[in-house]
Amino acid sequence: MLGWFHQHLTALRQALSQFGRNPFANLIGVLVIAFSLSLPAGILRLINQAAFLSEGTLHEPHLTLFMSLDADDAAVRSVWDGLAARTDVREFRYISSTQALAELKATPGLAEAIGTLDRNPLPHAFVIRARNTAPQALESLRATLARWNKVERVQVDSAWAKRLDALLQFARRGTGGLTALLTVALAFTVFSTVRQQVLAARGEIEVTHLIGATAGYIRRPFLYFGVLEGILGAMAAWLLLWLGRRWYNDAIQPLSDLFAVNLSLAGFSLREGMLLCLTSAGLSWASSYLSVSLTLRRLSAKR
Amino acid sequence: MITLNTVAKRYPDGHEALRGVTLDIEDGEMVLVTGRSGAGKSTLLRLMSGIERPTSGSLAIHRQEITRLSNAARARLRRNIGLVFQDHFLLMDRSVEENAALPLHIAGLYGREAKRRVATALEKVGLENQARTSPLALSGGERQRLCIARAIVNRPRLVIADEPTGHLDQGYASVILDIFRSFNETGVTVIIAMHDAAFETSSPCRILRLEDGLLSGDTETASSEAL
Repeated sequence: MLGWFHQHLTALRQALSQFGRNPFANLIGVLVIAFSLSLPAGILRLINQAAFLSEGTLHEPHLTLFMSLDADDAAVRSVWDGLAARTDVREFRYISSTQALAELKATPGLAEAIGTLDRNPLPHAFVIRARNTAPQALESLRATLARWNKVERVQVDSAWAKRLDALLQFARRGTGGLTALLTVALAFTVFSTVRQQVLAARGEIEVTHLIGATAGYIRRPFLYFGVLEGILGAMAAWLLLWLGRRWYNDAIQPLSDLFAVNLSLAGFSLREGMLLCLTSAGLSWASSYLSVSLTLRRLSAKR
Repeated sequence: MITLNTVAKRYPDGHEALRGVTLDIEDGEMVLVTGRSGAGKSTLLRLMSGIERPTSGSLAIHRQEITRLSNAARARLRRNIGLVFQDHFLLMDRSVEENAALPLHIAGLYGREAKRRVATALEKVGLENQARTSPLALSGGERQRLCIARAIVNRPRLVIADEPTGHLDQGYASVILDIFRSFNETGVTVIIAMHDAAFETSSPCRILRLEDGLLSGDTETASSEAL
Protein backbone atom coordinates (compact mmCIF):
# COMPACT_ATOMS: atom_id res chain seq x y z
CA MET A 1 0.00 0.00 0.00
CA LEU A 2 2.84 2.35 0.96
CA GLY A 3 4.66 1.36 -2.22
CA TRP A 4 1.57 2.15 -4.28
CA PHE A 5 1.31 5.56 -2.59
CA HIS A 6 5.02 6.26 -3.23
CA GLN A 7 4.64 5.28 -6.90
CA HIS A 8 1.77 7.74 -7.33
CA LEU A 9 3.67 10.44 -5.44
CA THR A 10 6.71 9.91 -7.68
CA ALA A 11 4.50 10.05 -10.79
CA LEU A 12 2.96 13.30 -9.56
CA ARG A 13 6.41 14.73 -8.87
CA GLN A 14 7.54 13.76 -12.38
CA ALA A 15 4.45 15.39 -13.86
CA LEU A 16 5.09 18.60 -11.93
CA SER A 17 8.72 18.68 -13.02
CA GLN A 18 7.52 18.38 -16.64
CA PHE A 19 5.78 21.74 -16.22
CA GLY A 20 9.03 23.29 -15.07
CA ARG A 21 11.02 21.83 -17.96
CA ASN A 22 9.01 23.50 -20.72
CA PRO A 23 7.11 26.34 -19.07
CA PHE A 24 6.25 28.38 -22.18
CA ALA A 25 4.77 25.51 -24.21
CA ASN A 26 2.86 24.27 -21.17
CA LEU A 27 1.52 27.75 -20.46
CA ILE A 28 0.22 27.96 -24.03
CA GLY A 29 -1.48 24.58 -23.53
CA VAL A 30 -3.10 25.76 -20.30
CA LEU A 31 -4.32 28.96 -22.00
CA VAL A 32 -5.83 27.03 -24.93
CA ILE A 33 -7.74 24.89 -22.44
CA ALA A 34 -8.78 27.99 -20.50
CA PHE A 35 -10.23 29.66 -23.62
CA SER A 36 -11.85 26.41 -24.74
CA LEU A 37 -13.68 26.20 -21.43
CA SER A 38 -14.40 29.84 -20.67
CA LEU A 39 -15.85 30.77 -24.05
CA PRO A 40 -18.84 28.35 -24.05
CA ALA A 41 -19.28 28.68 -20.28
CA GLY A 42 -19.42 32.49 -20.56
CA ILE A 43 -21.78 32.48 -23.54
CA LEU A 44 -24.11 29.99 -21.83
CA ARG A 45 -24.17 32.19 -18.75
CA LEU A 46 -25.17 35.19 -20.91
CA ILE A 47 -27.90 33.19 -22.66
CA ASN A 48 -29.31 31.92 -19.39
CA GLN A 49 -29.31 35.45 -18.01
CA ALA A 50 -31.20 36.66 -21.11
CA ALA A 51 -33.70 33.80 -20.75
CA PHE A 52 -34.22 34.63 -17.10
CA LEU A 53 -34.88 38.27 -17.95
CA SER A 54 -37.19 37.35 -20.82
CA GLU A 55 -39.26 35.13 -18.51
CA GLY A 56 -39.48 37.70 -15.75
CA THR A 57 -38.46 41.26 -15.41
CA LEU A 58 -38.50 42.70 -18.90
CA HIS A 59 -41.88 42.00 -20.38
CA GLU A 60 -44.01 39.75 -18.15
CA PRO A 61 -46.25 38.29 -20.88
CA HIS A 62 -49.95 38.43 -20.10
CA LEU A 63 -53.34 37.57 -21.62
CA THR A 64 -56.23 39.92 -22.26
CA LEU A 65 -59.70 38.37 -22.16
CA PHE A 66 -62.46 40.32 -23.97
CA MET A 67 -66.04 39.41 -23.20
CA SER A 68 -68.82 39.61 -25.78
CA LEU A 69 -70.74 42.89 -25.92
CA ASP A 70 -73.92 41.29 -24.62
CA ALA A 71 -72.22 39.82 -21.54
CA ASP A 72 -74.12 40.77 -18.38
CA ASP A 73 -72.92 41.01 -14.78
CA ALA A 74 -73.66 37.32 -14.15
CA ALA A 75 -71.38 36.33 -17.07
CA VAL A 76 -68.64 38.63 -15.74
CA ARG A 77 -69.07 37.13 -12.24
CA SER A 78 -68.78 33.63 -13.73
CA VAL A 79 -65.51 34.46 -15.52
CA TRP A 80 -64.17 36.19 -12.37
CA ASP A 81 -64.91 33.09 -10.26
CA GLY A 82 -63.46 30.82 -12.92
CA LEU A 83 -60.18 32.78 -13.03
CA ALA A 84 -59.97 32.95 -9.24
CA ALA A 85 -60.29 29.16 -9.05
CA ARG A 86 -57.51 28.44 -11.52
CA THR A 87 -54.09 27.57 -10.07
CA ASP A 88 -52.27 28.52 -13.30
CA VAL A 89 -53.48 32.15 -13.00
CA ARG A 90 -51.22 34.21 -10.80
CA GLU A 91 -53.33 37.38 -10.77
CA PHE A 92 -55.93 39.15 -12.86
CA ARG A 93 -57.46 42.59 -13.13
CA TYR A 94 -60.99 43.35 -14.26
CA ILE A 95 -61.60 46.37 -16.49
CA SER A 96 -65.29 47.10 -16.99
CA SER A 97 -66.49 48.58 -20.29
CA THR A 98 -67.37 51.81 -18.46
CA GLN A 99 -63.87 52.04 -16.92
CA ALA A 100 -62.27 51.31 -20.28
CA LEU A 101 -64.33 54.02 -21.94
CA ALA A 102 -63.40 56.50 -19.21
CA GLU A 103 -59.70 55.68 -19.68
CA LEU A 104 -60.11 56.13 -23.43
CA LYS A 105 -61.81 59.47 -22.97
CA ALA A 106 -58.88 60.61 -20.86
CA THR A 107 -56.62 60.09 -23.86
CA PRO A 108 -55.95 63.52 -25.41
CA GLY A 109 -57.70 64.02 -28.77
CA LEU A 110 -60.05 61.06 -28.38
CA ALA A 111 -62.57 62.55 -25.93
CA GLU A 112 -64.49 64.46 -28.60
CA ALA A 113 -64.69 61.52 -31.00
CA ILE A 114 -65.88 59.19 -28.25
CA GLY A 115 -68.49 61.76 -27.19
CA THR A 116 -70.25 61.37 -30.54
CA LEU A 117 -70.91 57.64 -29.93
CA ASP A 118 -74.48 56.77 -28.97
CA ARG A 119 -73.44 53.74 -26.96
CA ASN A 120 -70.29 52.21 -25.37
CA PRO A 121 -68.60 50.02 -28.00
CA LEU A 122 -66.04 48.53 -25.58
CA PRO A 123 -66.43 45.11 -23.97
CA HIS A 124 -65.67 44.11 -20.39
CA ALA A 125 -62.12 42.79 -20.15
CA PHE A 126 -59.74 40.94 -17.86
CA VAL A 127 -55.95 41.35 -17.89
CA ILE A 128 -54.50 38.04 -16.71
CA ARG A 129 -51.00 37.18 -15.56
CA ALA A 130 -50.22 33.46 -15.72
CA ARG A 131 -48.07 31.58 -13.23
CA ASN A 132 -46.10 29.90 -16.03
CA THR A 133 -45.04 32.40 -18.69
CA ALA A 134 -43.53 29.91 -21.12
CA PRO A 135 -45.07 30.45 -24.60
CA GLN A 136 -46.59 26.95 -24.71
CA ALA A 137 -48.22 27.37 -21.29
CA LEU A 138 -49.65 30.76 -22.24
CA GLU A 139 -51.06 29.37 -25.48
CA SER A 140 -52.70 26.47 -23.64
CA LEU A 141 -54.32 28.85 -21.11
CA ARG A 142 -55.51 31.10 -23.93
CA ALA A 143 -57.19 28.21 -25.74
CA THR A 144 -58.96 27.11 -22.53
CA LEU A 145 -60.25 30.58 -21.64
CA ALA A 146 -61.42 31.23 -25.22
CA ARG A 147 -63.90 28.35 -24.87
CA TRP A 148 -65.63 29.91 -21.85
CA ASN A 149 -69.21 31.23 -22.11
CA LYS A 150 -69.59 34.84 -23.30
CA VAL A 151 -65.88 35.15 -24.00
CA GLU A 152 -65.37 36.81 -27.37
CA ARG A 153 -61.58 36.66 -27.66
CA VAL A 154 -58.45 35.97 -25.60
CA GLN A 155 -55.26 37.62 -26.75
CA VAL A 156 -51.78 36.53 -25.71
CA ASP A 157 -49.24 39.27 -25.47
CA SER A 158 -46.37 36.88 -26.15
CA ALA A 159 -45.24 37.47 -29.70
CA TRP A 160 -42.15 39.22 -28.46
CA ALA A 161 -41.56 36.45 -25.93
CA LYS A 162 -41.88 33.83 -28.68
CA ARG A 163 -39.34 35.61 -30.85
CA LEU A 164 -36.89 35.97 -27.99
CA ASP A 165 -37.42 32.36 -26.95
CA ALA A 166 -36.73 31.18 -30.51
CA LEU A 167 -33.62 33.34 -30.60
CA LEU A 168 -32.42 31.93 -27.29
CA GLN A 169 -33.07 28.36 -28.44
CA PHE A 170 -31.00 29.05 -31.53
CA ALA A 171 -28.23 30.61 -29.44
CA ARG A 172 -28.26 27.60 -27.12
CA ARG A 173 -27.89 25.23 -30.07
CA GLY A 174 -25.10 27.36 -31.48
CA THR A 175 -23.34 27.32 -28.13
CA GLY A 176 -23.81 23.54 -27.97
CA GLY A 177 -22.00 23.24 -31.29
CA LEU A 178 -19.30 25.65 -30.14
CA THR A 179 -18.89 23.67 -26.91
CA ALA A 180 -18.45 20.44 -28.87
CA LEU A 181 -15.83 22.07 -31.09
CA LEU A 182 -13.93 23.57 -28.18
CA THR A 183 -14.09 20.26 -26.28
CA VAL A 184 -12.34 18.67 -29.25
CA ALA A 185 -9.80 21.51 -29.13
CA LEU A 186 -9.20 20.83 -25.41
CA ALA A 187 -8.83 17.10 -25.96
CA PHE A 188 -6.50 17.66 -28.91
CA THR A 189 -4.33 20.11 -26.94
CA VAL A 190 -3.82 17.63 -24.09
CA PHE A 191 -3.37 14.75 -26.57
CA SER A 192 -0.69 16.66 -28.45
CA THR A 193 1.19 17.89 -25.37
CA VAL A 194 1.24 14.44 -23.80
CA ARG A 195 2.34 12.84 -27.08
CA GLN A 196 5.29 15.25 -27.30
CA GLN A 197 6.27 14.30 -23.78
CA VAL A 198 5.99 10.58 -24.41
CA LEU A 199 8.22 10.95 -27.47
CA ALA A 200 10.73 13.05 -25.50
CA ALA A 201 10.81 10.41 -22.75
CA ARG A 202 11.21 7.55 -25.22
CA GLY A 203 14.58 6.51 -23.78
CA GLU A 204 13.32 6.42 -20.23
CA ILE A 205 10.22 4.50 -21.28
CA GLU A 206 12.41 1.94 -23.03
CA VAL A 207 14.57 1.46 -19.93
CA THR A 208 11.70 1.16 -17.47
CA HIS A 209 9.85 -1.21 -19.82
CA LEU A 210 12.91 -3.45 -20.08
CA ILE A 211 13.42 -3.71 -16.34
CA GLY A 212 9.84 -4.61 -15.55
CA ALA A 213 7.58 -1.57 -15.70
CA THR A 214 4.01 -2.34 -16.74
CA ALA A 215 2.14 -0.10 -19.17
CA GLY A 216 0.21 1.27 -16.18
CA TYR A 217 3.42 2.33 -14.45
CA ILE A 218 4.78 3.96 -17.62
CA ARG A 219 1.46 5.71 -18.30
CA ARG A 220 1.01 7.13 -14.81
CA PRO A 221 3.18 10.32 -14.89
CA PHE A 222 1.71 11.29 -18.27
CA LEU A 223 -1.82 10.86 -16.96
CA TYR A 224 -0.97 13.03 -13.97
CA PHE A 225 0.46 15.63 -16.31
CA GLY A 226 -2.67 15.64 -18.48
CA VAL A 227 -4.99 15.94 -15.48
CA LEU A 228 -2.86 18.71 -13.97
CA GLU A 229 -2.89 20.60 -17.26
CA GLY A 230 -6.69 20.19 -17.42
CA ILE A 231 -7.19 21.43 -13.85
CA LEU A 232 -4.85 24.40 -14.37
CA GLY A 233 -6.71 25.21 -17.60
CA ALA A 234 -10.06 25.08 -15.76
CA MET A 235 -8.73 27.35 -13.02
CA ALA A 236 -7.47 29.80 -15.61
CA ALA A 237 -10.90 29.61 -17.30
CA TRP A 238 -12.54 30.38 -13.96
CA LEU A 239 -10.28 33.42 -13.61
CA LEU A 240 -11.10 34.55 -17.16
CA LEU A 241 -14.83 34.19 -16.47
CA TRP A 242 -14.48 36.22 -13.28
CA LEU A 243 -12.62 38.97 -15.14
CA GLY A 244 -15.14 38.85 -18.01
CA ARG A 245 -18.06 39.12 -15.58
CA ARG A 246 -16.51 42.14 -13.87
CA TRP A 247 -15.99 43.86 -17.22
CA TYR A 248 -19.56 43.05 -18.35
CA ASN A 249 -21.16 44.18 -15.11
CA ASP A 250 -19.27 47.48 -15.18
CA ALA A 251 -20.34 48.04 -18.81
CA ILE A 252 -24.01 47.09 -18.25
CA GLN A 253 -24.52 49.16 -15.08
CA PRO A 254 -25.64 52.39 -16.84
CA LEU A 255 -28.19 50.38 -18.87
CA SER A 256 -29.46 48.67 -15.72
CA ASP A 257 -29.93 52.05 -14.06
CA LEU A 258 -31.76 53.40 -17.13
CA PHE A 259 -34.32 50.54 -17.23
CA ALA A 260 -34.40 50.07 -13.46
CA VAL A 261 -33.72 46.39 -14.07
CA ASN A 262 -30.90 44.28 -12.69
CA LEU A 263 -29.00 43.21 -15.81
CA SER A 264 -25.76 42.22 -14.07
CA LEU A 265 -24.39 38.69 -14.43
CA ALA A 266 -24.16 36.40 -11.43
CA GLY A 267 -20.71 34.93 -10.75
CA PHE A 268 -19.79 31.25 -10.95
CA SER A 269 -20.43 29.50 -7.66
CA LEU A 270 -17.83 27.27 -6.00
CA ARG A 271 -19.89 24.25 -7.07
CA GLU A 272 -19.92 25.40 -10.70
CA GLY A 273 -16.19 26.06 -10.54
CA MET A 274 -15.52 22.62 -9.13
CA LEU A 275 -17.69 21.10 -11.85
CA LEU A 276 -15.66 22.99 -14.47
CA CYS A 277 -12.41 21.63 -12.94
CA LEU A 278 -13.77 18.07 -12.74
CA THR A 279 -15.04 18.15 -16.32
CA SER A 280 -11.72 19.46 -17.58
CA ALA A 281 -9.75 16.95 -15.48
CA GLY A 282 -11.89 14.06 -16.75
CA LEU A 283 -11.57 15.11 -20.38
CA SER A 284 -7.82 15.63 -20.01
CA TRP A 285 -7.40 12.24 -18.34
CA ALA A 286 -9.22 10.47 -21.17
CA SER A 287 -7.27 12.42 -23.76
CA SER A 288 -3.87 11.74 -22.19
CA TYR A 289 -4.75 8.04 -21.69
CA LEU A 290 -5.53 7.75 -25.38
CA SER A 291 -2.43 9.71 -26.36
CA VAL A 292 0.04 7.78 -24.21
CA SER A 293 -1.51 4.39 -25.12
CA LEU A 294 -1.39 5.07 -28.86
CA THR A 295 2.15 6.46 -28.71
CA LEU A 296 3.38 3.52 -26.57
CA ARG A 297 1.81 1.07 -28.98
CA ARG A 298 3.56 2.78 -31.87
CA LEU A 299 6.90 2.78 -30.00
CA SER A 300 6.63 -0.89 -29.06
CA ALA A 301 5.77 -1.76 -32.65
CA LYS A 302 9.06 -0.15 -33.71
CA ARG A 303 11.05 -2.24 -31.17
CA MET B 1 14.73 -22.47 -14.36
CA ILE B 2 14.55 -21.81 -18.13
CA THR B 3 13.22 -24.36 -20.61
CA LEU B 4 13.18 -23.81 -24.37
CA ASN B 5 11.50 -26.34 -26.63
CA THR B 6 11.97 -25.87 -30.41
CA VAL B 7 11.85 -22.12 -30.00
CA ALA B 8 11.85 -20.06 -33.19
CA LYS B 9 11.75 -16.31 -33.64
CA ARG B 10 10.91 -14.58 -36.89
CA TYR B 11 10.73 -10.79 -37.03
CA PRO B 12 8.13 -8.88 -39.07
CA ASP B 13 10.76 -8.10 -41.74
CA GLY B 14 11.07 -11.86 -42.37
CA HIS B 15 14.44 -12.29 -40.65
CA GLU B 16 14.57 -15.65 -38.87
CA ALA B 17 16.74 -14.98 -35.80
CA LEU B 18 16.25 -18.36 -34.07
CA ARG B 19 15.32 -21.71 -35.59
CA GLY B 20 14.12 -24.49 -33.30
CA VAL B 21 16.35 -24.03 -30.25
CA THR B 22 15.85 -26.56 -27.46
CA LEU B 23 17.70 -26.35 -24.15
CA ASP B 24 17.36 -26.30 -20.36
CA ILE B 25 19.19 -24.03 -17.97
CA GLU B 26 19.23 -25.08 -14.33
CA ASP B 27 19.39 -22.98 -11.17
CA GLY B 28 22.86 -21.71 -10.30
CA GLU B 29 24.42 -22.30 -13.73
CA MET B 30 26.94 -19.94 -15.33
CA VAL B 31 26.15 -19.91 -19.04
CA LEU B 32 28.03 -18.18 -21.83
CA VAL B 33 26.17 -17.74 -25.12
CA THR B 34 28.64 -17.28 -27.97
CA GLY B 35 28.48 -16.81 -31.68
CA ARG B 36 29.15 -14.30 -34.42
CA SER B 37 27.20 -11.12 -34.89
CA GLY B 38 23.71 -11.96 -36.11
CA ALA B 39 23.90 -15.55 -34.83
CA GLY B 40 20.84 -14.94 -32.65
CA LYS B 41 22.49 -14.36 -29.22
CA SER B 42 20.61 -11.16 -28.40
CA THR B 43 17.32 -12.61 -29.60
CA LEU B 44 17.82 -15.67 -27.40
CA LEU B 45 18.52 -13.45 -24.39
CA ARG B 46 15.52 -11.20 -25.11
CA LEU B 47 13.32 -14.28 -25.24
CA MET B 48 14.82 -15.74 -22.06
CA SER B 49 14.23 -12.46 -20.24
CA GLY B 50 10.61 -12.21 -21.37
CA ILE B 51 11.11 -9.05 -23.39
CA GLU B 52 9.91 -10.79 -26.54
CA ARG B 53 7.70 -13.79 -27.26
CA PRO B 54 8.81 -16.68 -29.50
CA THR B 55 7.08 -17.03 -32.85
CA SER B 56 6.73 -20.77 -32.27
CA GLY B 57 7.78 -23.36 -29.70
CA SER B 58 7.49 -23.07 -25.95
CA LEU B 59 9.60 -21.16 -23.45
CA ALA B 60 9.17 -21.32 -19.68
CA ILE B 61 10.91 -19.03 -17.21
CA HIS B 62 10.56 -19.86 -13.52
CA ARG B 63 7.98 -22.46 -14.71
CA GLN B 64 5.85 -19.77 -16.34
CA GLU B 65 5.10 -20.30 -20.02
CA ILE B 66 6.02 -17.01 -21.68
CA THR B 67 3.68 -17.41 -24.65
CA ARG B 68 0.66 -17.52 -22.34
CA LEU B 69 1.56 -14.48 -20.26
CA SER B 70 0.03 -11.04 -20.82
CA ASN B 71 2.29 -8.02 -21.41
CA ALA B 72 1.79 -6.90 -17.80
CA ALA B 73 2.59 -10.39 -16.45
CA ARG B 74 5.77 -10.53 -18.57
CA ALA B 75 6.74 -7.10 -17.22
CA ARG B 76 6.26 -8.34 -13.65
CA LEU B 77 8.29 -11.45 -14.46
CA ARG B 78 11.19 -9.24 -15.63
CA ARG B 79 11.33 -7.65 -12.17
CA ASN B 80 12.79 -10.95 -10.94
CA ILE B 81 15.45 -11.00 -13.65
CA GLY B 82 18.53 -8.79 -13.54
CA LEU B 83 19.17 -7.42 -17.03
CA VAL B 84 22.46 -5.93 -18.20
CA PHE B 85 22.78 -4.38 -21.64
CA GLN B 86 25.77 -3.52 -23.80
CA ASP B 87 24.41 0.02 -24.24
CA HIS B 88 23.78 0.44 -20.50
CA PHE B 89 20.32 2.05 -20.93
CA LEU B 90 20.94 4.45 -18.05
CA LEU B 91 18.92 7.58 -17.32
CA MET B 92 21.40 10.40 -17.67
CA ASP B 93 19.21 12.98 -15.93
CA ARG B 94 19.17 10.92 -12.72
CA SER B 95 21.95 10.27 -10.24
CA VAL B 96 23.81 6.96 -9.95
CA GLU B 97 21.77 5.91 -6.92
CA GLU B 98 18.49 6.92 -8.59
CA ASN B 99 19.39 4.75 -11.58
CA ALA B 100 20.22 1.83 -9.31
CA ALA B 101 16.97 2.29 -7.38
CA LEU B 102 14.75 2.25 -10.48
CA PRO B 103 13.84 -1.50 -10.38
CA LEU B 104 12.95 -1.16 -6.69
CA HIS B 105 10.66 1.77 -7.39
CA ILE B 106 9.01 -0.12 -10.25
CA ALA B 107 8.42 -2.99 -7.82
CA GLY B 108 6.96 -0.50 -5.31
CA LEU B 109 9.84 -0.56 -2.80
CA TYR B 110 10.82 2.83 -1.37
CA GLY B 111 12.24 4.19 1.88
CA ARG B 112 15.02 2.86 4.10
CA GLU B 113 14.97 -0.71 2.76
CA ALA B 114 15.33 0.61 -0.80
CA LYS B 115 18.23 2.87 0.22
CA ARG B 116 19.94 -0.02 2.00
CA ARG B 117 19.60 -2.28 -1.05
CA VAL B 118 20.92 0.43 -3.38
CA ALA B 119 23.92 1.02 -1.12
CA THR B 120 24.66 -2.72 -1.03
CA ALA B 121 24.37 -3.06 -4.81
CA LEU B 122 26.64 -0.07 -5.44
CA GLU B 123 29.15 -1.42 -2.95
CA LYS B 124 29.21 -4.78 -4.73
CA VAL B 125 30.25 -3.10 -7.97
CA GLY B 126 32.57 -0.56 -6.32
CA LEU B 127 30.51 2.57 -6.99
CA GLU B 128 29.57 3.39 -3.40
CA ASN B 129 31.52 6.66 -3.48
CA GLN B 130 29.81 7.91 -6.64
CA ALA B 131 26.20 7.42 -5.55
CA ARG B 132 25.26 11.09 -5.89
CA THR B 133 27.08 11.78 -9.16
CA SER B 134 25.56 11.75 -12.62
CA PRO B 135 26.15 8.75 -14.90
CA LEU B 136 27.56 11.29 -17.37
CA ALA B 137 30.57 11.65 -15.07
CA LEU B 138 31.28 7.90 -15.17
CA SER B 139 33.62 6.05 -17.55
CA GLY B 140 32.29 3.30 -19.86
CA GLY B 141 33.34 0.58 -17.42
CA GLU B 142 31.79 2.40 -14.47
CA ARG B 143 28.54 2.82 -16.37
CA GLN B 144 28.51 -0.90 -17.02
CA ARG B 145 29.06 -1.52 -13.33
CA LEU B 146 26.13 0.79 -12.56
CA CYS B 147 24.05 -1.22 -15.01
CA ILE B 148 25.03 -4.36 -13.09
CA ALA B 149 24.16 -2.71 -9.76
CA ARG B 150 20.72 -1.88 -11.17
CA ALA B 151 20.34 -5.48 -12.32
CA ILE B 152 21.12 -7.01 -8.92
CA VAL B 153 19.42 -4.47 -6.65
CA ASN B 154 16.19 -6.50 -6.64
CA ARG B 155 18.18 -9.60 -5.59
CA PRO B 156 17.22 -11.64 -8.65
CA ARG B 157 17.89 -15.38 -8.90
CA LEU B 158 18.66 -14.90 -12.60
CA VAL B 159 20.97 -12.34 -14.25
CA ILE B 160 21.06 -12.01 -18.03
CA ALA B 161 23.73 -9.85 -19.66
CA ASP B 162 23.89 -9.06 -23.36
CA GLU B 163 27.52 -8.44 -24.34
CA PRO B 164 28.31 -6.54 -21.13
CA THR B 165 31.96 -6.12 -22.08
CA GLY B 166 31.35 -5.18 -25.71
CA HIS B 167 32.52 -1.56 -25.35
CA LEU B 168 35.27 -2.23 -22.81
CA ASP B 169 38.97 -2.96 -23.08
CA GLN B 170 40.23 -6.40 -22.06
CA GLY B 171 41.35 -5.28 -18.59
CA TYR B 172 38.03 -3.78 -17.67
CA ALA B 173 36.13 -6.66 -19.26
CA SER B 174 37.84 -9.05 -16.82
CA VAL B 175 36.71 -6.89 -13.89
CA ILE B 176 33.11 -6.99 -15.12
CA LEU B 177 33.21 -10.74 -15.69
CA ASP B 178 34.70 -11.26 -12.21
CA ILE B 179 31.67 -9.45 -10.80
CA PHE B 180 29.36 -11.85 -12.64
CA ARG B 181 31.39 -14.83 -11.40
CA SER B 182 31.04 -13.61 -7.83
CA PHE B 183 27.25 -13.48 -8.22
CA ASN B 184 27.23 -16.97 -9.67
CA GLU B 185 29.23 -18.23 -6.68
CA THR B 186 26.38 -17.09 -4.42
CA GLY B 187 23.92 -19.30 -6.36
CA VAL B 188 22.63 -16.76 -8.87
CA THR B 189 22.08 -18.12 -12.39
CA VAL B 190 24.09 -16.00 -14.82
CA ILE B 191 23.65 -16.00 -18.59
CA ILE B 192 26.04 -13.86 -20.62
CA ALA B 193 26.13 -13.35 -24.38
CA MET B 194 29.65 -12.80 -25.76
CA HIS B 195 31.31 -12.46 -29.15
CA ASP B 196 33.58 -15.22 -30.39
CA ALA B 197 36.52 -13.59 -28.62
CA ALA B 198 39.01 -15.43 -26.47
CA PHE B 199 37.70 -15.55 -22.95
CA GLU B 200 39.61 -17.00 -20.04
CA THR B 201 37.39 -18.87 -17.62
CA SER B 202 38.61 -19.13 -14.07
CA SER B 203 35.63 -21.23 -13.01
CA PRO B 204 33.60 -23.93 -14.75
CA CYS B 205 30.84 -22.70 -17.01
CA ARG B 206 28.51 -23.92 -19.74
CA ILE B 207 28.99 -22.60 -23.23
CA LEU B 208 26.20 -22.45 -25.77
CA ARG B 209 27.26 -21.74 -29.34
CA LEU B 210 24.81 -20.28 -31.83
CA GLU B 211 25.21 -20.26 -35.60
CA ASP B 212 22.59 -18.74 -37.92
CA GLY B 213 19.86 -19.11 -35.32
CA LEU B 214 20.67 -22.72 -34.54
CA LEU B 215 22.25 -24.16 -31.40
CA SER B 216 25.47 -25.67 -32.74
CA GLY B 217 27.25 -26.41 -29.48
CA ASP B 218 26.48 -27.00 -25.81
CA THR B 219 29.60 -27.78 -23.76
CA GLU B 220 30.90 -27.56 -20.21
CA THR B 221 34.36 -26.06 -19.62
CA ALA B 222 36.72 -26.61 -16.73
CA SER B 223 38.52 -23.60 -15.17
CA SER B 224 41.27 -21.70 -17.04
CA GLU B 225 40.20 -22.84 -20.48
CA ALA B 226 40.15 -20.61 -23.49
CA LEU B 227 37.08 -20.48 -25.70
